[in-house]
Amino acid sequence: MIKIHRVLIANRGEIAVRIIQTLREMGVASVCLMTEEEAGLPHTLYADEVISLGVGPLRDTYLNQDRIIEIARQTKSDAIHPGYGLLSENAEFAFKVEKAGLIFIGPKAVSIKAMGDKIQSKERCIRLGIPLIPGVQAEGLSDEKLLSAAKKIGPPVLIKASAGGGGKGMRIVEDNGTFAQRFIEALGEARREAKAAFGDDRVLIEKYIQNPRHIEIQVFGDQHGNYVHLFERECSIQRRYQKIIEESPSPIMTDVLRAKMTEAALKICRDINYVGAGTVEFIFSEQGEFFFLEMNTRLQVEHPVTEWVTGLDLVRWQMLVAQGEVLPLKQSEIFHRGHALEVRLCAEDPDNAFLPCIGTILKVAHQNLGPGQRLDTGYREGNGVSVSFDSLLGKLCVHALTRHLAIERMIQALKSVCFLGVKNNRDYLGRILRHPAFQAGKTYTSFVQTFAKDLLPKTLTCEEEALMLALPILASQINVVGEKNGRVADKIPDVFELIRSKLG
Amino acid sequence: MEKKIILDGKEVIGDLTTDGKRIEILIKDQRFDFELVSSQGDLFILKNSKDGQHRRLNLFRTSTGQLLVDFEGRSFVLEETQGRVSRPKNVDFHPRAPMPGKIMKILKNQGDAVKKGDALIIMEAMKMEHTIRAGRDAKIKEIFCRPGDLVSGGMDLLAFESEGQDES
Repeated sequence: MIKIHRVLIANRGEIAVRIIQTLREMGVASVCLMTEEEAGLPHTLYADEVISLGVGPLRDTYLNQDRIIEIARQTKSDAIHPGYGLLSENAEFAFKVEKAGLIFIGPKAVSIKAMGDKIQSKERCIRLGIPLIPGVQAEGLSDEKLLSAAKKIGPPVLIKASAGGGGKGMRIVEDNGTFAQRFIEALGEARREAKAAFGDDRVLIEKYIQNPRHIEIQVFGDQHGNYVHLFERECSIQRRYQKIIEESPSPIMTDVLRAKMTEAALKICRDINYVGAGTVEFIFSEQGEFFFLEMNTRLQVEHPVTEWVTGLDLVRWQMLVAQGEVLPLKQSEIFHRGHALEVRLCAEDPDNAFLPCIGTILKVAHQNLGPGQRLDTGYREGNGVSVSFDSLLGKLCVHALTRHLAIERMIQALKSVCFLGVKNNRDYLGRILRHPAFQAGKTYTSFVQTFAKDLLPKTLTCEEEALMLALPILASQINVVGEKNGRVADKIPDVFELIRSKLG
Repeated sequence: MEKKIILDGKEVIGDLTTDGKRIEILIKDQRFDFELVSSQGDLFILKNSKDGQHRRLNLFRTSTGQLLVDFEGRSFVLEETQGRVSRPKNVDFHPRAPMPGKIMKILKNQGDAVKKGDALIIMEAMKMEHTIRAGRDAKIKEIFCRPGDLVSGGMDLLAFESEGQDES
């Protein structure tokens, strides 16, 4: 067993802050990285030591493997925590860290490699008897062969462009009596569309999953061959194929289904001797089937949901496992209680295809958060949101006894949190939470598209407009009476200027 | 008087009268009456006299004169349409006209040292007198208005010496 004394966090933003919090509790020193444009962001303020990566594109800063390992050495760190994204699932980096004699807080490089390769991981699942979405690569197959394959898969069938994305070259063929004819027609359409859009007419066919849900299992393994699961999270509410609302338990979960899904996830862990925190993602069909999607070999963005329902600190567990300790609890000692929800507050415009927005955060408010409410954020007032990094402003998480109470609590929490100055999706998230379909647990991955109309902003009532008309007068009074409170955005004092003026 | 704002890019027009504590607004033939119950910093509590309910608002003024509003879990960007003179940069705490109106009296002279809270200018707006007070201890560098002047909302009325220059 090794004791880790100092950890280099090869990440930034809210997850860096989150990791520092646990390191502090454990008496472990933290080293953070920053780029020159990030001065003043919380992770640069809270770490015990901060090293600048200078300026430049990500490959020269947060993705510069050799430089980061060099910094770990210089700062006498014994371990590197990769967070999520960036280098967290880069097998080459994990390997280099291991080779440099440092501890990579995550799985072994070989596990990252084994699960990172889509084909290899799917072959493994087939061997382990874990269901995959039935499908076939259409390359080199005649239309007749494809049709018989489609019949074997069984309708509805999805034809999609191999090179595809964004729904182009995509056709759903349902069984309405003329399946064969319709399939051949759709195949032609999909190929032509794919050719036009991507210059590549290769297509693949697979079982079309109606009303799918995204359900994932949190797993943990230690270096002594112990594996546990920490139940599931449902993350079906997505936009642009990225999650925005996550919860645990899943509204449709039953004991029987949970036993099956967690066993499938643990089977993979045992097969690859998985060490550390991981997540096995499944697609769940309305008919109650689940299919393996992929495994994420790292801490997930949405890990707080699991922390709420289990009462455990997942970053602490990562640290313990990395130090070679035995998992602190056995499966029979792990329980879940109540219901947790997380929403991702992102700097983006829901009214404009969710495009990311940039700017300066002029005001952050979250002082009224109450019991069972938690905000993880990597921004403070005055910080800039730039194009260099992702659009996540913060994660708001709540815990309550039931799903219904958790939704009520989240709606309330959303009112207590604001990031003014940069357009963001807070109001939009509130509209999803208030939607009857969400409240009824009809959370399918198509939710955002299905209810796009319902999720448009409500026009203001006459009274609300009147209220707005009154505001300029109030605002001007702030400046006259209590100028001390009239914070001015471009007046964020330059500390050095202040010191100079005091000295001069 | 008529008041016009741009709310998230949409024009909103109404008629507004106020006595400093109560604000009455006539909009689309409906009358609303709000009372300022309490405020601290950027947080304002307004009571609608119709139902007695409180409305909580977070207000933030940007350097470009926009108002960022947070209200019941909804955020808005609000702009006033009256021509306003934008504040010069790097000079803070200048007394400004809280709303369009007429300058009645100027109580101090250029070069005067004033204490925070001292009355500086009396102006009339919406048939009421408003006293413009000093936001900090300062020395008056320049006065931009004369009695009888019509000023627009947000306009600088006078300039203070910047903070470091007070003693020089």
